[in-house]
Amino acid sequence: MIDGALTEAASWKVRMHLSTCEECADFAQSLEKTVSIVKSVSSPKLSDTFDAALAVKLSEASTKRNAALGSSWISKALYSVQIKSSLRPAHSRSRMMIATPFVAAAVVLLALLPLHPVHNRAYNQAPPASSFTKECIAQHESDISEHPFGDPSAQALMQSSNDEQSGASDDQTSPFSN
Amino acid sequence: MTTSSEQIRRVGRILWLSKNDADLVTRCQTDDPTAFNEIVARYKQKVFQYILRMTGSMEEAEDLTQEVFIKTYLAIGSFKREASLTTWIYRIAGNICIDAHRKRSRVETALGGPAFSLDEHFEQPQDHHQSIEPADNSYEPYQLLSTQELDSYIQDALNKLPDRMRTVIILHDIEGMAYDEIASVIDCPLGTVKSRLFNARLQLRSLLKNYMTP
Repeated sequence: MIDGALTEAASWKVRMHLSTCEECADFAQSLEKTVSIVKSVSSPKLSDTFDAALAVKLSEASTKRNAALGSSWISKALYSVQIKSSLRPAHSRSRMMIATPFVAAAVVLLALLPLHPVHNRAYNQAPPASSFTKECIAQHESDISEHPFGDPSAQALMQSSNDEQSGASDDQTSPFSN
Repeated sequence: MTTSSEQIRRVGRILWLSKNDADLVTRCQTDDPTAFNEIVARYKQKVFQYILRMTGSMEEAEDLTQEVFIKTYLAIGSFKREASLTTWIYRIAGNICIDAHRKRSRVETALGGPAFSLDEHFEQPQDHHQSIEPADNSYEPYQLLSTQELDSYIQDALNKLPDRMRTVIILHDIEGMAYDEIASVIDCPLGTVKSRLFNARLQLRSLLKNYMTP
């Protein structure tokens, strides 16, 4: 109605209603007045020095751009990102500002991920065995195969097993005792 | 009838402007030095008016208008024509206003109060409201005010609106943009533009009620 955006038919319906409803007519009139007041705001002119000042700034910006474009690829990329981000709609820039730390964290995590298997491999690898070490390992393995509970780590287990056996039936001898 | 002929004229003007804008952009992208001057000449006053009503300060608006054209100049080479040049320039202007507002808020927070008042062009004595008495009911109170006084009241009222509402009402009622153009500038659905405009007008209606006859 106020902006002339209604169709003829819709506008006619509204006018018909306003002719019979005083409350709505007052409301519509006050809105129209508000719009006319806002539209009556003056349009101050730019100062006479605007063009000259802009020319100087444009020249500076042009020099800066040429310097950025002539330097390393990273400067070019940063410059391009800086310019492009200023042209995005405001709400998408806000979303970007919120998302940036999360994206950065994700990139760092992704970069660190391949390092983990390398670390594990380093820790899991056995040290290079000398001939003496190999002899010791062979001796240890043969001892264990002959006397499985001769290994010091099995002594405690054997002891507790003997206690249980003797508690349950004192006359039975332990199958592990020699 | 008048409305439809006005709409036809408006659409014709928009088409003519867009064709000219497209030519200007092409010339800018082929390094024609005069083309950018034409863009500045065409848009500087509109952009200045928009930023002035967003910020309320003449000096700041002039500085920010310069910033808009510097950004436009630097980025026009990569302008992909997904939007019209008008939309694109207003979007840059809107972003610059938001950035300036954020900077100002930071300064105000750091200083513990407003960093500066509105520009002197818009400042009025505190007791001015009481001094206005409508002499005759045949005139609207606002018609009795000088241009500068009226500007001051309108600017004060605009400053009290939230940014998103102020943007829409300035673009529509002061800059004369259509709903769909505004939707493109602020990147919102058409319905959002209409509802923000209605709500902005409602708020302004109560803010400016002293200047309207009951």
